[in-house]
Amino acid sequence: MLEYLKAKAADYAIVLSWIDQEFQDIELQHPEHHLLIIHLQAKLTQAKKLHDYLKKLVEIGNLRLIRRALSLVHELEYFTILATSHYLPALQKEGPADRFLRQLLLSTMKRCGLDWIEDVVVHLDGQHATVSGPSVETPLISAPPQHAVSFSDMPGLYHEFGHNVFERFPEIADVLSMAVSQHFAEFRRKAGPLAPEQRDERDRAINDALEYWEIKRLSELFCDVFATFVCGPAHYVSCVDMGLRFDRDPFQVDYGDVHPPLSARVYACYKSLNPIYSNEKMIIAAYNAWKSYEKAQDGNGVFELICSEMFLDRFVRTATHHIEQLLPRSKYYSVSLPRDKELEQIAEDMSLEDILNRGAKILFTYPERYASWEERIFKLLKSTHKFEFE
Amino acid sequence: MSTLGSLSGQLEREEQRLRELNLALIALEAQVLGHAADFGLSEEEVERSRQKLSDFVVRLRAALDQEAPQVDFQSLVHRMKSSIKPIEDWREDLDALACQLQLKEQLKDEVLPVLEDILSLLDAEFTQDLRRLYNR
Repeated sequence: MLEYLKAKAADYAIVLSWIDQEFQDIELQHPEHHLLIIHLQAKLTQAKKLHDYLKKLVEIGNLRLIRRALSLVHELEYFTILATSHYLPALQKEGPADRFLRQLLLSTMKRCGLDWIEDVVVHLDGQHATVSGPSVETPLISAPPQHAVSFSDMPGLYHEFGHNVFERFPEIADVLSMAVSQHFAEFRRKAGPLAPEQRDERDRAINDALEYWEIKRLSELFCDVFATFVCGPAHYVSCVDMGLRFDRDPFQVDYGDVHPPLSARVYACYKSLNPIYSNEKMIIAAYNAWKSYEKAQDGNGVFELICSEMFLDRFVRTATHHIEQLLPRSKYYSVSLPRDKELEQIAEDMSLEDILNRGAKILFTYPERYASWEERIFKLLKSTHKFEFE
Repeated sequence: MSTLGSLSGQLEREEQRLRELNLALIALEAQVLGHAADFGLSEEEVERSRQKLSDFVVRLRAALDQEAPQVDFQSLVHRMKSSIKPIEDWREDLDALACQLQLKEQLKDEVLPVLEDILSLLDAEFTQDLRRLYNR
């Protein structure tokens, strides 16, 4: 082990030095990312301290102290992956399309109540994802490259904003976890007369349900609620679309996946939606499509227990209450969606949420008109953000 | 559907806790072994490390008795309850460890393995998530 640790200490010396140089180069080339680089450099300083400790443990060579060394390697590896697989590629390859979306997202995040955001780096390289390792003020957001020219699936970005909110306020995890505990404690007490073995089995199922709702799943479901809260119908429709296009069992409780079953997610989104939209044609269409899809699937008792409507209702109430409390500047999306010709009108002061909701409505009512409308609005956005595109 | 959003947040919390506790344990062990100066650690820094570990152990001990522990202790408590060591033994060991950490004396050899075991559980939790971030 000592030889391995010596090798790793030498290895990390090179990697950390290279990362340091890259951060300095990026700061020179992209001064707009100054605040992000400061956070990354603070993280690098922590990593250098871990590296110094690793070198010292190896130098002393005491067997008891050496037992702490592998943990240092794991922590150094975390920083290395964060920097070399996420932040550096995004910063090094940042192109005009990434910068366009960055500008759009910076203003959108602030409007959605995330007023702590200092910078964001966008990487149009694949599916929606976010990393906020160095600090919640400077997240990295990955998104599909078509976002440079299309709103397709763009409401999913609001789910990623939700992750940032969840990390910014640790109390959200605490209150949601409390909601889980309270719900299942009440459910446990509701058992009528049962044989001892039936009671044991029921208790075991409840304990499994409590374990299922670990922090990562609370986070994912919270993000669905948050995204629908701030983005409205467009996010609900996009969540239904996600459920339908992948043809996954919507009731499957997968302990290996941090995402709750799709039926629970779609239900939570629907319940997070402002009731003024319940008669909106696209909402009715998406709701009916989802219900008919669900009817064709077999339910299961585990889903009924873990994702009962009573539980999800409590979850949505708790989450929305805390969004309102903790993000006073966020707005519950409640803009009336215009009809007919008015729907296609575009204005410079339209928010991204307005655009996505109008776009979703056009897709559901006049799909043949959508492509030209999307093209027009992208031109406007790019000119509003005074951004030159190839 | 990416797992990165919830994973990166969780990893960040786990790494911060592991880093702080691991460095604190190194400080205490270095002191016991007479190597504190090699790490440039002053007596005040060693004392702060002891306090950090003491606070953590007290919170962990309380979490073991709670039906619904705080979110940041749930996974660790679950791992402790699932380990081959009986939960009663964990309780006794943590009580002894908490007492030791409150005395401003060098830690006795017999309590250090308890801290090492707890950090091993935290490290296992962290590396399990870290592997999800890096799939080669």
